Amino acid sequence: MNHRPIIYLFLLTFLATALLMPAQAHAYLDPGTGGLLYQMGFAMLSFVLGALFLPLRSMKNFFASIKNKLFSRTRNSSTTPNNE
Amino acid sequence: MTPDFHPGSFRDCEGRVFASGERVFRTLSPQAAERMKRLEARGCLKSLSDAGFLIPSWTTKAREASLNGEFGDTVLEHERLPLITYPYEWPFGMLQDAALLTLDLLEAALDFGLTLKDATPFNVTLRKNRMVFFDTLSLDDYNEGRPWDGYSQFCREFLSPLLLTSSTGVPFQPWMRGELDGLKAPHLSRLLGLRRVRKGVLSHVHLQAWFEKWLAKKGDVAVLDKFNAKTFSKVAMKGMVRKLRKSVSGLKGRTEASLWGDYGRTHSYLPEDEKKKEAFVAAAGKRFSGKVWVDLGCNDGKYTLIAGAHASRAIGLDLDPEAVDGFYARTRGDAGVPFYPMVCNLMNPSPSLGWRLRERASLFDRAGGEAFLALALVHHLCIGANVPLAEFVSLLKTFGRGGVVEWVGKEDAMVRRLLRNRKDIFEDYDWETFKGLLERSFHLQGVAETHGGARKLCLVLPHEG
Repeated sequence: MNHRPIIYLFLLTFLATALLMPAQAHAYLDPGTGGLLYQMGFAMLSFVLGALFLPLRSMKNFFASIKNKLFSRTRNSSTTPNNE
Repeated sequence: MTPDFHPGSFRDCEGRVFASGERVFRTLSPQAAERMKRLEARGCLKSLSDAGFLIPSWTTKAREASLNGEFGDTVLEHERLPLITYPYEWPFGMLQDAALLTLDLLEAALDFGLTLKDATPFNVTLRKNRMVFFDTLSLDDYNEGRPWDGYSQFCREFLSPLLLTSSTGVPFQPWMRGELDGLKAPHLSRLLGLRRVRKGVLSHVHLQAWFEKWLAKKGDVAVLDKFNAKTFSKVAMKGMVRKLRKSVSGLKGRTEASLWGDYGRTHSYLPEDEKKKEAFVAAAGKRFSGKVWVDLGCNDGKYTLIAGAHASRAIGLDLDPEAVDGFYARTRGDAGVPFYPMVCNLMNPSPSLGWRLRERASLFDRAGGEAFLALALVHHLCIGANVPLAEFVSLLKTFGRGGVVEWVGKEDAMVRRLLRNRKDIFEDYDWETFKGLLERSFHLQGVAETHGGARKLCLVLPHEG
């Protein structure tokens, strides 16, 4: 008996089913879930960047204030005689 | 008695919109009624409305809206908007302004301890030539740690269409009309690829598309549970809003394929013909004073402004988004007559769309025109798109009982250009036939010739009796 037509029919049905059925069931996924993940990621990244850069910024501000104080003192000492 | 609810207001479970006579109301669930009364007492509604973000709204007794107790004893009343246009009818600048308005409103709302439940351009429209948010019920109580529910929707319906046009020059309007829920991140991600990376594309498009792909593979993932005041503070939320604003405001909308964007400078009118046309249209504008004008093929709105100077409102339709954007830029923020620039191809005007084909009304159902302006249009529709002359005159009747229509004969240079590379099959395209058709539908009050007689401006009025 020739089984070839049955095999072809089986393969064709399998192929059609594979093509017509989606690989993943997206229907139950809320379209906003990706956005929630993004917001979570954004908050975490902001926190990490803040944790990294805030100490650096406060150190920079600290040294800048010392520099300002020193320079303003020298400027004051150099300008006072002229004002007098 | 159940009121006749607006077919586009079903999405919010807390209340539905309906009209009672000339007034517009919104039913309120008990929870929403409590919230709206509280916001009103705190002055939030007035502050946001005075700032130009929100349409004026106030709570009132349900019996004012002819309602019995079935929908509670309080309703929200809104100022009536004469016309609502949809984002697929807006030029780039309008969608961009609507996006910025939504973000401004969200930021102001956060200061009041409020948030927005959603973020769709269908909640925004023109009021007195400024974009305004009219879905007051979108204002919800904000709890620190709660993410912005409208973020993904904002990306789909505001940012992605703007990015599409800004990055590729492809108009977003047909896409928005086809997909009322907006342009999905995976689709835009594929369209843009990595060649068109600019501010906002990596984070709001590619990253989101990747997340969605990952979630689809992963299946059931609970994300919302992870949010709390520590993981997502108000500061983080405000930071995200500012980042979104930067992404939106940095976008430019000029498309490379605009045919009509520079028409104001490149048209075929001699200065004396132009003056004649301006005077003719201005006289018609006075005759139809206080009426609703519809300009068919408005270009940058030059003649819409002239005709509509004494109108109750004036709508300008044109298929070129860039030209309409120019019109919007001219009228934006103007305190006078309300103008409505709309991107519209008259060969395929906005149909009824959405849920049961009733959610978004067709252009014809909304326009409410009383007078029309159809300048240099007849040859584009009747020769360029094979519309029979009789059909063209019928279209005019759809938009008003009278107005100004310009005849452009075959001897005109522009018509000759249209016919240069095609067979002239338009045997009945002549002035006598057109005049006969016009006179059958209107009273032909006056004719003024320009271009040495090749063009004729016709003032048509309703037949008496």
